[in-house]
Amino acid sequence: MFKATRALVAKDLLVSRRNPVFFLLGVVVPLMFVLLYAFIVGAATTAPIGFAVESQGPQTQKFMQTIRSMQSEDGDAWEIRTTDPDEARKLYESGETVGVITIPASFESDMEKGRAKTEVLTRNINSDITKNLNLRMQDAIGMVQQAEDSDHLVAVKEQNRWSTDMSFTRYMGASLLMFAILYASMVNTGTLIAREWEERTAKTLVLSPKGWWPLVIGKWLTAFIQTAITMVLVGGVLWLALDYPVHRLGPGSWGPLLLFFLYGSALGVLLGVALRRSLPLVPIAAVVTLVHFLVFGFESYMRGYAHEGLVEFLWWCARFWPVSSAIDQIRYAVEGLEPYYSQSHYLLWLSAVIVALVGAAIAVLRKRIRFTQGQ
Amino acid sequence: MRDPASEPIAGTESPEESAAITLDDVWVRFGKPADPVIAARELTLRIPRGKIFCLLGPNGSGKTTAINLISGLLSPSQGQVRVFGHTPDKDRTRTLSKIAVVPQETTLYDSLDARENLFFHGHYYGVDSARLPGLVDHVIDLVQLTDRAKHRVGTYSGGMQRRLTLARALLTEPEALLLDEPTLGVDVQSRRALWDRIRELADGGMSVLLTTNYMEEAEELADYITILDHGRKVVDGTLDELRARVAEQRLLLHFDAADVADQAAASLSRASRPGGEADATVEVALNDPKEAMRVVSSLRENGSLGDRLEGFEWSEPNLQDVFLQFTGRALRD
Ligand SMILES: Nc1ncnc2c1ncn2[C@@H]1O[C@H](COP(=O)(O)OP(=O)(O)O)[C@@H](O)[C@H]1O
Ligand SMILES: [Mg+2]
Repeated sequence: MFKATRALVAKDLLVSRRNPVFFLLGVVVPLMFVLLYAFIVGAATTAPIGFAVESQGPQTQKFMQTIRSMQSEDGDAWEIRTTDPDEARKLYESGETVGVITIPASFESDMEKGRAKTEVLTRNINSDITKNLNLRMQDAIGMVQQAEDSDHLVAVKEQNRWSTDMSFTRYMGASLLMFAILYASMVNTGTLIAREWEERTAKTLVLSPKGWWPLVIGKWLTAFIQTAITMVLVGGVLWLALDYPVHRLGPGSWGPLLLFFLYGSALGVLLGVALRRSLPLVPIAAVVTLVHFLVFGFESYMRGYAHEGLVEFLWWCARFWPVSSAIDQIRYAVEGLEPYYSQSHYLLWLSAVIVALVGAAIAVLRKRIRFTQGQ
Repeated sequence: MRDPASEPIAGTESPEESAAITLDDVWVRFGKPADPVIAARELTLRIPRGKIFCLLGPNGSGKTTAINLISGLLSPSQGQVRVFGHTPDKDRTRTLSKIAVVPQETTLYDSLDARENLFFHGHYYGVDSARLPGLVDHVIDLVQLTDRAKHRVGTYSGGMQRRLTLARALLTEPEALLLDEPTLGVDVQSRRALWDRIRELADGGMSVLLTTNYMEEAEELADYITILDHGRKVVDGTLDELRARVAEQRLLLHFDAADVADQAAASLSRASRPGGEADATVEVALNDPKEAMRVVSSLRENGSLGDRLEGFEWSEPNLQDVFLQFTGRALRD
């Protein structure tokens, strides 16, 4: 059996090398996706901003300190180009900054009354940026106020566990890893299987006296090798372009990554035996992966909007489908938090999903073999 | 109707023992039970050892179904299949280690060359690694592909691909070879080469089951022929036996004058005058080809008619006549 498995892996790697289109699609698509994200995230995080500080006093100073410390915590989310009101407006007019944040002259007294406000003026290309900045300002004001009032200090710290503690980059990094591994494993496994039908060799493989195991293990191993190549490259790009701490993907992340691979290749097997064609498999895999990315990759972001309608439904799906938890596990692992394998049901869930998918694939396959007589 | 395997083959007594593969009253139904497609009905076959057994039938007659039953890809809905004593769909490993299948479609990796295809197959099917290189050289040589062994199979003609597929099946040194329409769409030279190889293999003791819808192929190769139609065995036997079963065979007698022909027609049983009054031809219906010579010699003995006989034609029925008689002329899909 070992010999047969090895022969299949060697054959498949050789065929992939000679017809590299589908293998390359498994590499290029995730790489492009990560690069595109790196570009978008990069543009959003290093937004140059001007502050028009029109007030003076201890509250203003504290406020600006808080802003500066938030900035570094966020990993250069934005760059403060100036605090001079005139300069700030000039830079904004000339387009060198994306916005002006005005701290009005009444700031000190407003602060004392507990009604302090800042004014955000941006080129409103992306309403998220405006909203984001507004939220940050509110946050900063809150922090300054609560620093005065030590009773509330604890509450502030706890509240900020996710979106402010973890940089957007790190948050996204885990989702991007999921995207890459899911897509690559689906395309690789699916095309490795569909290919045998395209070459009409499936029957010959099935008629081996060595049985099914060399086929199953061989295909899985080859898919694993090809997916691993994609992941090494994606890891490199994440690290270089997004500054994602790949080296911190410790044992805590291995479980979820392996499960993603198994999940993706189970989906790939199912697509492969159902379609028996490589070409339609690629866009379908892309759509499936994209849906996973958008729905499960942003679960905790969605939580904020999930009050009604479609978003609530999606969020509900995202919570119950074990993929979101597995992505969270990678996030925890990178942040150096203890892996919480033992406390989570998602591993079991995801394993059950994988088993069900493989079962479905076998059922389709059995039917297919009967239907591929002659023709 | 005679069953080929019921005649003991030299050295064995029991017909069961002499058969490599048997199908007993096998039925295969596809689709909904209420409205099934029946691909095999009460099919009983005895495929003897060391002979070429040919399944001849039009498209959709159930030839591939029979092969799939034997290789265990398909389970009979009813009835029993035995391959060297094993039940193929249950005892797959043992069945598959005795047989080799050359499927109807070409099943090779286009981007690999002939040797790579063969080595992969050998390793995948568990051929002893030490012997494999020798076997690969041997089978490539057997099908005359040595010159092209290093070229990718995608560049091969259909005939070369079929030859390579045969070579691949031989790597595992099977006891029985199942060939599903091996020369479909193959050029004359490759067909001839394939026929020669298949004959040699059977002479060397291999049991061969060959399906085809080419009459020439069955006439050329088959020791035994079974004609299938709509999943059913319609007739079987050796080529001679099948020829003898063609009911109407005609002997044409040409005389030198119409009135002599009239006279001859009157004196012979089952004679007619197909060309009409003015024509001097008599047609005699025969039950058996051997009757033809008897009729002619009895005419010759009868001086007055015999002297006026200018010539006669009589063609031995070919397999096509048999085939058409038993399967009819309706077109198939
Ligand atoms: N999986 C299947 N489902 C339904 N019908 C089938 C299936 N396989 C074969 N058949 C039908 O069974 C009959 C015999 O097919 P087959 O054995 O392939 O014929 P042949 O090889 O003689 O051309 C045909 O009518 C075919 O349409
Ligand atoms: Mg067929």
